[in-house]
Amino acid sequence: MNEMPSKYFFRQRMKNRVYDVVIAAVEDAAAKRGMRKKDIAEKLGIHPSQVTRWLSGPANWGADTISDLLYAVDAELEPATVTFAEREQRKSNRFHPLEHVLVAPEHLERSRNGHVAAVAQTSATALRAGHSIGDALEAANLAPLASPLGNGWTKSAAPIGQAPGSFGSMAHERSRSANPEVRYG
Amino acid sequence: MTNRLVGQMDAARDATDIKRFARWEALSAEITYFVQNGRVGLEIMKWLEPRAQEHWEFRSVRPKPALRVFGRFAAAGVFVATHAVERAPLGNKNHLNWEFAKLESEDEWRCALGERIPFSAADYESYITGDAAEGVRMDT
Repeated sequence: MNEMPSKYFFRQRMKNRVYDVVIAAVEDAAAKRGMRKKDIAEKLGIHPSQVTRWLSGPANWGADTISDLLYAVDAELEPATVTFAEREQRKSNRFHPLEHVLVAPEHLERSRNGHVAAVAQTSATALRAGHSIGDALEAANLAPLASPLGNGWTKSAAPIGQAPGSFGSMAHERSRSANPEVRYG
Repeated sequence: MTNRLVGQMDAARDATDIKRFARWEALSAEITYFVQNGRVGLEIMKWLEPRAQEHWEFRSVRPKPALRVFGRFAAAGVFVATHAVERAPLGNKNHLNWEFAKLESEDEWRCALGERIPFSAADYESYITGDAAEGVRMDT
């Protein structure tokens, strides 16, 4: 189960992660210093609508966009790299593509991540093994709102699946320290 | 994700068409990002109108063709993704194809969860209890 996802997976993953850290920096500037979209536009010499487009998602971001947005809030990226092998050793930051994640119900957390993880892992593994989404929700202790044992709410006789460093740790995957750091000017 | 969506992703993974393979790999990465508590906003998750029907779309814009994953929330923080469709054939926001896609989503929901009622709340952030905001937290 250690098959590495493709380069296309990692391209998108990087976009999402960089977007996350840049938007956090922009929001931080807004919260602490009252920065507005208009201020960013003025500093960069662009129309405010362009700022709105940039902030709406990372789809069209290039390196210049990233740099400009951070520059506008007096910050820059401080990139660092990590090898896949090193990442594997950092259990809390272990890389988990959906396909490779297995989880035992007892590892699920009563958090947003745990719940979503339950559903995601169902698709990747348990469905193929004949389990259902209901299994995953049930494992997460989510009481059904209707038809308690209707279609899809079958009891699972065996654990959905398990592997070391599974979704339990995945729930903690996201942390600012795991992302490229932003240095403020 | 439902069986159908898993099947869609598996089929793309087995495709010999490299563009198709790459497209769905990107979607897989975005869903992983979502699961790993990445930032969630309108750029990723949109509550479809009319909101009372409790339909959501997970938006995957690039690379082209853009994809939309339909689904509903089973509980706060539990998004059940039902199936994916290409964005272009859905047409504009009032096109009937959106309604067809919603009906398909309801069918998949029923297959997976029976008559379970989708989770319902008043505001966006109540559905996505992690790092969620409809827009960037910044004044214009």
